[in-house]
Amino acid sequence: MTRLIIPLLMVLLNGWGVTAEAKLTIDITGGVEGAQPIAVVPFGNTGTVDMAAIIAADLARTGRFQPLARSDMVKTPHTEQEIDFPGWQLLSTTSLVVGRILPGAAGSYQVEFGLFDVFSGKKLLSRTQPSSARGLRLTAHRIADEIYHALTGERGVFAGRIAYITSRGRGAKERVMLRVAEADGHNPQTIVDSADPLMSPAWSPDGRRLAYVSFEGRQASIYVQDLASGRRQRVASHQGINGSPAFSPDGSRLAVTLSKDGNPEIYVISVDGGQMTRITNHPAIDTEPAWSPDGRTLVFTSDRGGQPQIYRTSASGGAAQRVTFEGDYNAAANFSPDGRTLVLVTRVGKQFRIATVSAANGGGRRFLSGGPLDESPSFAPNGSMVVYGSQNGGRGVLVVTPIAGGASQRLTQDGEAREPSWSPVPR
Amino acid sequence: MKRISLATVLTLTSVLVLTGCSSTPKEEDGALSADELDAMSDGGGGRYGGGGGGRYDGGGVTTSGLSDDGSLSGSNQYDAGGDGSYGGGGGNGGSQDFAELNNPSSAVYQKIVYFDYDASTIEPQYADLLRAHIGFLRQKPGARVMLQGHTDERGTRSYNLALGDRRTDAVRGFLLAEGVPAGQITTLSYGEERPADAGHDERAWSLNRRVELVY
Repeated sequence: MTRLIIPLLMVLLNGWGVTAEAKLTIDITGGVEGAQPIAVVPFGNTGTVDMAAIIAADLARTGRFQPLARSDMVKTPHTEQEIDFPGWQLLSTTSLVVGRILPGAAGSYQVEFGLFDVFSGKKLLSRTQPSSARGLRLTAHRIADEIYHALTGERGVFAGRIAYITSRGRGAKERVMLRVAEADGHNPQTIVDSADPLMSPAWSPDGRRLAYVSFEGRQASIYVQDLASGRRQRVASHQGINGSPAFSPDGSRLAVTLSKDGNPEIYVISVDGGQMTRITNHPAIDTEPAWSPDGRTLVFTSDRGGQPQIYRTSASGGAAQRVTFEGDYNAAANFSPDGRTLVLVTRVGKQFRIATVSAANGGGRRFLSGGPLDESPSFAPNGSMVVYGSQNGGRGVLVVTPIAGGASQRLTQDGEAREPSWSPVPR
Repeated sequence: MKRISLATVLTLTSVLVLTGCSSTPKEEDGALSADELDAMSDGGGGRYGGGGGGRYDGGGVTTSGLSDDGSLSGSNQYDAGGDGSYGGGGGNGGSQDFAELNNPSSAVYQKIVYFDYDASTIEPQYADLLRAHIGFLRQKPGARVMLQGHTDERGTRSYNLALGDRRTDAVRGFLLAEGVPAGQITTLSYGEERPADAGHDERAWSLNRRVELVY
């Protein structure tokens, strides 16, 4: 097992958004065998942001790339003309990224980069991207996404964001916050700050709104908040549980859990809260609904068989079929973007672990984590990684782990972090 | 250990069988016994003291806008409870005297019922505590109680929200069965979001599996 601790100098170099709470350690654990070697050379004229470091870290996080350490780089070319391909071949690097940041109009920048195959010398990708000073980190994530796409054929997801819940303090001094950070955990911003619990953040398919549960005023309610304006609408506030919101793939409806009729049941409501369809009708607990990508099916957690298991039903209601049979506790399932796989929480002995199973029959259980208190798993929008909540040293942390195996990444902040959710589309 | 009659146990069992959970695993190492739990809950909303639930009120909520480049823009203030919610201090009304709720020698001073792991069965030793509150609520029609349900941290958060709801339902069912008018009772499950003890061991978990009676 290799263990790389990357102290992120970018935070210090990053001239904006630097606060005590932006302190972040990225801790990569697990093997990187089989990962493709790539060299991301520090960009020329680097101003306030070390873009190459951001790109290299993004690529490493997928588990499919192993960036060359800077100390092993003999030369630091910034343009195609400066590249000595035979020299890079000696370092067993298959791909090479070079670039530079050029000044643009009115304090903006032009970011020029190229991706090369080291053995053929062939240019695989090159582009010049305009960027504001503030947008340089986002531009770096976009470049990482382009490189990832060029080398794997899959869409990159690092220009997306992660929403999560964090809390600090105890008792009367407790603050609970809904935060949105870049996909690498940087630049966390608080978009809801409350003295009462917040739960279950869920992105709209267009990435512009977040649904969540708030307990303000001693009442659980589901809100939908517009990300850009911070304005929000209360869409469910009945007696009892108002929980587990999940946007339909077309963004028009929410699947939710309500106990207004006596015990927790799944309902589908319109996003403005106007219409309501009851999906389940069973005296057991039914909760944690999740939509299939085609919007036709809902899976949910129910203990109607005596212990929590995953069930499936039509998104318009009707009979439910049990999906999971392996293990005595399966809960909080979410679909992969292709609809074929579920990621869920499963209990093995006393350990709550993250696993994937077949969405069709619940079989083929594969563990992604070792527990003991792992929860809230969901897929990155390209299906290549899963993000979940875990505990480290008694503290809630977020973990990103590649489906292909390899390096897991832990995002640690001040205070507790939990219930991560990856935004559906890159900005 | 408080003594209760066989008839009491039977009554409780019949009330609870509908809501009870099937599995009641044996106590784990380090978990507190029922007597230890009761000794630690010093009334008034347990460890938080005084008045129960008061600490949860009046927080308010701030939301902020977030632009594409990751900077915040503008904020909106919301007052907690100011938008027509249930509970929210909806209030113990009239001129009735509620001082005994905060009197350590009163039978209604204790306000916490603890539960076994993954269970919503009310254990027999809580019959006296609940009956004291039943008497109190029946004598004082102006009194309102909110049953706040909690779980330990094991298992998923939304499932725990449902389990906390099942626990408040169990207590509510007992109160209703013994004559408390439904209008005096509200319920709210916090799931695992409001642990009484922030630890991650059996001892903390046994303190966290509870229903608090909040007036």
